[in-house]
Amino acid sequence: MTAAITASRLTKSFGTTKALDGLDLTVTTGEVHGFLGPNGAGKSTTFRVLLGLLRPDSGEATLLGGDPWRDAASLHRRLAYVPGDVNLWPSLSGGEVIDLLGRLRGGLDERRLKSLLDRFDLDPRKKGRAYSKGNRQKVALVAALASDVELLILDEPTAGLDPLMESVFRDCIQEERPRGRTLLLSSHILSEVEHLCDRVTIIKDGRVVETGTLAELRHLTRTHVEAELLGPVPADLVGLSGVHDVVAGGSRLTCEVDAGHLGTLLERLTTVGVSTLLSAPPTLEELFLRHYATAVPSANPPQLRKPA
Amino acid sequence: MIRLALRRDRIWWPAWIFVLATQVVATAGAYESLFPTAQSRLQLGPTMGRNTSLRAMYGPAFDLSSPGGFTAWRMGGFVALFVALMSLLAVIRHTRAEEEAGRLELLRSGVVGRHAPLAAALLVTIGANVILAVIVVVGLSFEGLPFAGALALSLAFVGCGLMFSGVGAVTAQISENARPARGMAASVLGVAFLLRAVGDSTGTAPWLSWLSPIGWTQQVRPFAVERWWVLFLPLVVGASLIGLAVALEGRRDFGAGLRPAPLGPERAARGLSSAAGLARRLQRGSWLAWTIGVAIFAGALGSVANGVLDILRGSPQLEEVFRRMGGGQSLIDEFFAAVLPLMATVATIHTVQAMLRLRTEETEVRAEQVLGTAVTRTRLMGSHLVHAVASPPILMTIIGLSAGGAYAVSARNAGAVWSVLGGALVLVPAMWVFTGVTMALIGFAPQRSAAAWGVLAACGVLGQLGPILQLPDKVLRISPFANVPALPRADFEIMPLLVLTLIAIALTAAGIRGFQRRDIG
Repeated sequence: MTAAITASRLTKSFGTTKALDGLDLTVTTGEVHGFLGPNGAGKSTTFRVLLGLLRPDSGEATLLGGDPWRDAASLHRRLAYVPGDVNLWPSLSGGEVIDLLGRLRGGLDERRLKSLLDRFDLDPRKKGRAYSKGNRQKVALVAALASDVELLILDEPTAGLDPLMESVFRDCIQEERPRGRTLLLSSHILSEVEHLCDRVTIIKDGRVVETGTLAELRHLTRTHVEAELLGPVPADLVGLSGVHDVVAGGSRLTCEVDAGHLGTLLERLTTVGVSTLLSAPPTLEELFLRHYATAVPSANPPQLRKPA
Repeated sequence: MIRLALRRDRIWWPAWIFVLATQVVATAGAYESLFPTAQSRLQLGPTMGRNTSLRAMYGPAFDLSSPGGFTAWRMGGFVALFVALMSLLAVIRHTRAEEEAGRLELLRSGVVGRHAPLAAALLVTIGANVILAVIVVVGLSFEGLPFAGALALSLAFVGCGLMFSGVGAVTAQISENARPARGMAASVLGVAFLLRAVGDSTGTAPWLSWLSPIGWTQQVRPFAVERWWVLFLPLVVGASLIGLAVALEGRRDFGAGLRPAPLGPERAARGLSSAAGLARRLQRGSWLAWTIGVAIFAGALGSVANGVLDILRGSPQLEEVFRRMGGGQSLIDEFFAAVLPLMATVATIHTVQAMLRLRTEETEVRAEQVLGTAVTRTRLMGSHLVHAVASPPILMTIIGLSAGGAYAVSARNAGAVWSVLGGALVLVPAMWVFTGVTMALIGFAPQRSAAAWGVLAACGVLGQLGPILQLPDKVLRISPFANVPALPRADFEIMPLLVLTLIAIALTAAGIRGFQRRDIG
């Protein structure tokens, strides 16, 4: 496996604010990589460094085997970039912008362009100033997806899209997989990343807090368990290793279990007898909240909670 | 809402009002020194007042023998024109432009009524017109002019402003976007000016002037037995237009226009496939407007030139006055040597604008998309720089040919074209310095690149006011325009032109280096 993008220890400051603070990132060729973080975490700054628009204060980055600053133009022939806030030229029509960006990148796939326009339900004759934010986003996305490039860098690609278009976008990305294109997309829509991405990098304050495949990240997370038992909940569950946030009310139980400890818990529960059991793997939502929020909201009212 | 509108315009309004008011008052003040004797004043009416090209430019003269009458003639039409422009721009800016940007949506969803933004825009605009009127009345009274005339002149301005506030309010309802709305309203203003110019200059169809709101301003006849009833015309028409705008606004959806926005082509033309092609497309509109604009403006000046000469020939005293003001040998050379640098200063607006387009592309996050493709920074920058370098020679050639040609035709002197053209072209290196200044700012102080306007304005003001204030030569020469040999009056010198060109090249090269090395965004 080769790396389409590597960045190591990138730092970049704007005045007194540190946008990037030793950021590392590796995107493997052919994968769909999710780049997650709250607003201001440094996602767009990272992209701009990777595109050679910004020069990092320190650290190194390689893009498709080249130096993003020095070889910008020749590298950009092989990639398509959609900024987070797409602004079009007010006097140019959407069709003109798509053609222009495609030609500047070195060619468009005509058949694909037609089908994309159709699926995104986009009128290419409207002028830039007449498009809504979502439609501007669609123009840039269509131009990028119809381009014949090996790497797509999409900054918050679905931020302005309605749910219907969001699902069209997901389908399009799924179709990209067999083409062997590499995709790096940032988002704070977690379910989207969860559906689309092979690997995820989560950043906060310009630093990576977690990175790995979804399965690897789940390793670090706890599964939520809800069970209705045939008898009262055993009192020794509270002390069981790997089991947290136990809430017991008669025969009802909810708790969080560390990955790898689910078996121990189940063994213990079957001694009492289980009538219903619900176990849900953590969503990225929860993953995210663990890193960025001070408290994880619980599904249960806090007063019922026993000390873990 | 009104407070918000005022806050957003705290530089815009004072700038307009200050410039317009000082123009009027300064003209009144200058009258005494320009025409000191009673005899010279009496002669103005039959000479300047009768001159056809001057009538077309300024309008009919009712009484040129008093400072008030002269001011009303010389400034009335022009100030009315700019008051109209200020009013229509302001109204559209606070209604359609805001709606288009989506900022109004935020406010309209609050506790603000459907017509509140329009009402606020109109109130602020009319308020500004009234303030301008008060300043003019006070200023003219200080100059010792009759109060009634000053009041009539100011009220005529207010009427014109009201009328075109109405025009702006209506076009803002018609079009979905601010730009076409501005275009439509400005066209109405253009037609109004043309109707008046034709009506006043031909003499066969004076009623044409009565169709023009700008004509009304003059038909009030300030300082020449005022006709107060004429003031009702703009009042009634303006109020009806505002009523119409309110009615139209009540019938349309938010964000929509009465006329849907026109559609563009589905595919891009072949020319639109490179950074240069994109820049050409983006610069096209302003090139068209500027080439036509300067051609007409220079043509008008060229044809007036002969009129000026006629007036002087008809009156030895006046000729003497003008000679004393200029001090040169040939009056017509003097005229062009004075007017051409002014035209070059105006044309440099296009030069700076063309260069700043690069910065606009960057701040609007569009450059980022282009640089995200195989376009290098050098290409992107060069695509706009080319226009900023081409602007001075192209515009000055048009100015030279148009002004020189118009003069040559009216004076039956074909050779004059070449001397005027030469006078125009020597100014090109001075204009290039502004290309360089702007490029250097974009390269090294991108956040402050708008300072290029400040530099240009300062040089323009220095060129116009410097000699009047009798500033030392050293100070005057800070402006690049002051370092150019004043052709066709003075002799040609190559050195200053070479030095200016070298300065321009050095500044541009530095700017290019800066742009290549710095962060984008």
